[in-house]
Amino acid sequence: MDPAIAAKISPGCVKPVHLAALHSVVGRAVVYVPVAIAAWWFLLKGPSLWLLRSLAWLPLAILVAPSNLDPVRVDPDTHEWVFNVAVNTVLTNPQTGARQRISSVEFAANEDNLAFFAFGWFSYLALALSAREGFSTSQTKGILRGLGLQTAVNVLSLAAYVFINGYGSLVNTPHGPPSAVWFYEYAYYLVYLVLPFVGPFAVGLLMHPEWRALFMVQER
Amino acid sequence: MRASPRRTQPFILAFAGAALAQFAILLAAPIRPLVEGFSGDLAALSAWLIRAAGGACVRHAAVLSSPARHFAMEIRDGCNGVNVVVLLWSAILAYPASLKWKLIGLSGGLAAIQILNLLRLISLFYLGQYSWSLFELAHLYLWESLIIIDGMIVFSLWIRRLPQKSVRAV
Repeated sequence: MDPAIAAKISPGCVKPVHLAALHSVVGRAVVYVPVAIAAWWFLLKGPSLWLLRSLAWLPLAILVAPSNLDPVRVDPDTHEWVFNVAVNTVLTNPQTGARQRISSVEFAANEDNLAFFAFGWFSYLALALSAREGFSTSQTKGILRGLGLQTAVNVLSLAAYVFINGYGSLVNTPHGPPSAVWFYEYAYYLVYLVLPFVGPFAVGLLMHPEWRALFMVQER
Repeated sequence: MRASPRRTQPFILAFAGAALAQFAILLAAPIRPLVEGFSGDLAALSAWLIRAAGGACVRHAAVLSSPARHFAMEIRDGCNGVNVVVLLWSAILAYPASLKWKLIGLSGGLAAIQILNLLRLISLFYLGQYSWSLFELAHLYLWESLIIIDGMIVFSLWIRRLPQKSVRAV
């Protein structure tokens, strides 16, 4: 081989690639967010769902469930989460036409459908770590506060989802009032399809000035 | 020169109001056929791009399928990029800029998000044929987060390119 060509492909000519993207908040986020979400999906989805259920038990008991029933339990056969929602309402039975008092509603949800309320921890963590280059102990306090806020978002979103599903099962019937059915769908859409994704970004913007700096203008 | 937020609280209130109103419009019965038609158009464009690149894809309404690989996916709310468009439009509408610059932001933002969304749909079409688990990860979590970041980049660029005279006095 020509020595000139050999010199060009020798190990000595390999230079470390300078990843300019990793020097900006957004550039780091584009890398860290997929890595964090993939790590959650492949390694930590189960534990994060267990943590969510444990943390949500008390808020669900206080905000949503009737006092005499377990707010959430796992069905040992199907592994679905079974929720109890206090509704305390009177409805007309569509089959008999008789008025009936309903104190609570029980419904089950597949664990995969509830993962939306657990992935926010990892999405937020990636956004928080993207805020600064490197990692310092001074960041830790801010990140822990952010994780606390994200936990509140996750738990309250789950509580809203449970509440909406409980009441929705009473409203979303062929004879349900159209405006109530629409409002149920609207609330469900926001809590299930918007909030879980937007939550971590909102917490990131609130807790980290580096993210807010993206939207600040130079005033002359 | 110094950086400062422009009246953050009124902006956040206007942003939240615009977002809630637009999501309400999105779910209004007369608008649903338009949204579903838009999802169908995205499917048609994705199928055309896949075929133009030499791939095999069958499109019916908002469903893309690969009969040879026994795979099909339907583009629905959440996968059509409309949620992020609503959030970006809310931020642009809430920001005190001139009408001309708002229209530039709204149209440019729609294009930027939907171009990335087309990449999402095409990548999901191939990913789904390869691995269901990776499809679920990318479909439900990865792409939506990346498209939100795209929306934030667009909004940041739009703010930085706003001429001072087009920013309403606040």
